[in-house]
Amino acid sequence: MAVSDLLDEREAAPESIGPTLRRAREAAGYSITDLAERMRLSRHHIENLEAERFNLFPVSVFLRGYLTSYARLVGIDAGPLLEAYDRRGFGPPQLHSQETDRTTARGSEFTVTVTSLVVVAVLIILSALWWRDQWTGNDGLPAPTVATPDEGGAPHRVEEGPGESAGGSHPAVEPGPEEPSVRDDTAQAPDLEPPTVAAGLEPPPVAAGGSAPGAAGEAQAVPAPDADAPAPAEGAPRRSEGSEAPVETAAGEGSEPAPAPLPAPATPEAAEAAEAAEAGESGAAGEAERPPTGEEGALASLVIRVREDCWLMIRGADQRLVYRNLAPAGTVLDLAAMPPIRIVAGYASGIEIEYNGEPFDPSPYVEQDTGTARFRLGS
Amino acid sequence: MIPKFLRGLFSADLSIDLGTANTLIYVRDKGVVLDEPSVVAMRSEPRSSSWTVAAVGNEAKNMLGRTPGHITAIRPLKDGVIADFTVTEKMLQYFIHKVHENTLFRPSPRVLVCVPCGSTQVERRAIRESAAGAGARDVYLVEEPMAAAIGAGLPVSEARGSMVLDIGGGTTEVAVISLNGVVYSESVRIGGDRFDEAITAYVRRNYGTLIGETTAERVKCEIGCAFPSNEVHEIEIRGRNIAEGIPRGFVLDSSEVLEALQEPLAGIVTAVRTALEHTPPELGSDVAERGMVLTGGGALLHDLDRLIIEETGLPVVVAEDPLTCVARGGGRALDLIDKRGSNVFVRE
Repeated sequence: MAVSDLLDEREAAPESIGPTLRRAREAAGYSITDLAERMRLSRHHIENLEAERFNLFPVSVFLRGYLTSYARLVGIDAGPLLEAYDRRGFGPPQLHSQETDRTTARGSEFTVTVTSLVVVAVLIILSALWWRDQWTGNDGLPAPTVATPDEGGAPHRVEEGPGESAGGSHPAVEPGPEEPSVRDDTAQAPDLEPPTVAAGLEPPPVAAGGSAPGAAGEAQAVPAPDADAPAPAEGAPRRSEGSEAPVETAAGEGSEPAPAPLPAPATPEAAEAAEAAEAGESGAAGEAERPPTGEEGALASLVIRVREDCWLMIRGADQRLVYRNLAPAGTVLDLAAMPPIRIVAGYASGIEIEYNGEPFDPSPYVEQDTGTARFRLGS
Repeated sequence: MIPKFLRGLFSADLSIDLGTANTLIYVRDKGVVLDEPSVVAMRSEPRSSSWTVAAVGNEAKNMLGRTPGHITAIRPLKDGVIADFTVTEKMLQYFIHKVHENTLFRPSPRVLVCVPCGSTQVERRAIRESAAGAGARDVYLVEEPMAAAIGAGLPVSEARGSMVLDIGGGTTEVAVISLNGVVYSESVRIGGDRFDEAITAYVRRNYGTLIGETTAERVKCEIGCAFPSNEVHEIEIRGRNIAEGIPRGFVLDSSEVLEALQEPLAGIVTAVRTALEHTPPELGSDVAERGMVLTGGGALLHDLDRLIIEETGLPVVVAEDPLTCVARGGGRALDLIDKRGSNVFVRE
């Protein structure tokens, strides 16, 4: 059979790849073994080609190559055979990978990204609103840190009468063994003094307070109210003077309302009241204001009356900070600290100092140009 | 100035077979849209003493060996890697613009470039920067044998050995691939250019005549063969006779070309043998059962598969459309990279 006859036959039935190859091989005089040897393939491959068992071949590229080589060896054109093969729909193998599919991963990444952006945007908006609120609420000024005496507050801590709230702010204080006790005499017992008095218009003397380390029994009671008691200068609040060892503040807080306008010798009633306060519900507060028991005997009393605004820094022994703040005019600082006490006063001419009940004049230590005084009290 | 990522929205992803002889560009969803010689004609500007691009691709190749003094036609790639960085960048820029002629903005595509597996890190970096300088938004590098195997349709993702022999213009790459990775690869700097040089040397040695690159390439394409055949083809060519100094014509037949090509062909066969020796037994068994695939322009040399069959005793098939295998494979790799990340095929 001539090759042209085979081609004509194939064109008549273009889908018959296997029979075309077999007839061409037989016409060329080759056996299956001959072709397998020349193509370096196994007999099974040649038989599968002629039987059109194409699904047994691994991938399309090899099958196409085998068809091409086969056709060339037997002397026929491989083109029509390949076209017939292509019509059967064999394609290249799919590529795949063990890597994570990024199409799904990308979706989750997108969600996370959008969520993060939304959260960040919300945080930024909230921060901006808070910042604006802060400034508009304070008329553009930062929040005050020290309450003036007129506001019923004290720069450090205000002693209050029983059941009364001073209503002022209480800035944080650096804790120390010698916890200072600051009292404003605007904080009066409400049932003893009218509001006008509390505002300092007619300030009555306040009950002797302080942070005396002594036991309750040592506390000096305060006398009964005395309307004729001398008022502080310019109506400014002042701390009433007590005994040599100032009475613990808790005595006034926990006891029955007992006005103490002036320093006076202790009375048995007041002592009883102090004792009752010690044992009463305010005992905890009173204990909290006391320095450690081991230092009681060594503590020194320091009372500073602030006539004009003055910045103060007071350090006790071992450089422990007792007080550091801007003391507004009218403030009375009643402190107890371990000597030696180092004091730095920004405007020393505006304060009066009593150390262990004795007045101390800081004027020798005042620097002429700045008005600042640095001095030390105690040994 | 529009950012690259915005311009990227108007650019198509490209797979570039940056070959020594030809540059092919595959555009996703469009196929191979550009196949031009990697030749650039540079014109010197006497006033500014600088060089400007006179022609690129086919037009420049026609100028090879026929240029006046102020024009130089050069091939910026040699042995598969960049020999002239600046000119390569200009050439890539021209080609990328050419495949984006209808876009409104300056193109900034993602580009996958196929590199020889034997290229060094410096050479790969040069290719990467050259593509980036030509406007690419992202540049991926894939080894040529991997791209060729994918383009030929080999099952590179399977746990079976696939062997590919890619004979390009400057290099021949032989590799055994399994599970998306190159198990063994060998790159020899023998390719179509060496075939041309061998023919030129043969003609000069036996005929005392000088022929140019273009003529040698025509001889190779028309009557070149790699294995003895009963059929003998002839071609008439012309060159400058060295002794007389004037052009002469003569006839060259295919057996002479076969003789001329013996040396580079032996180099390729040696590379294949070496690769087979280094292939793990299991993968070698797969290769022996199914055979190896020839890709690249060199695969079109007549009876080259026959030569490899006889020399190795293994089945050898020529891939369909071997010239574009690398570019098409790069395009398919780009699809997979888009789905699974750049670390699927890309090896730095």
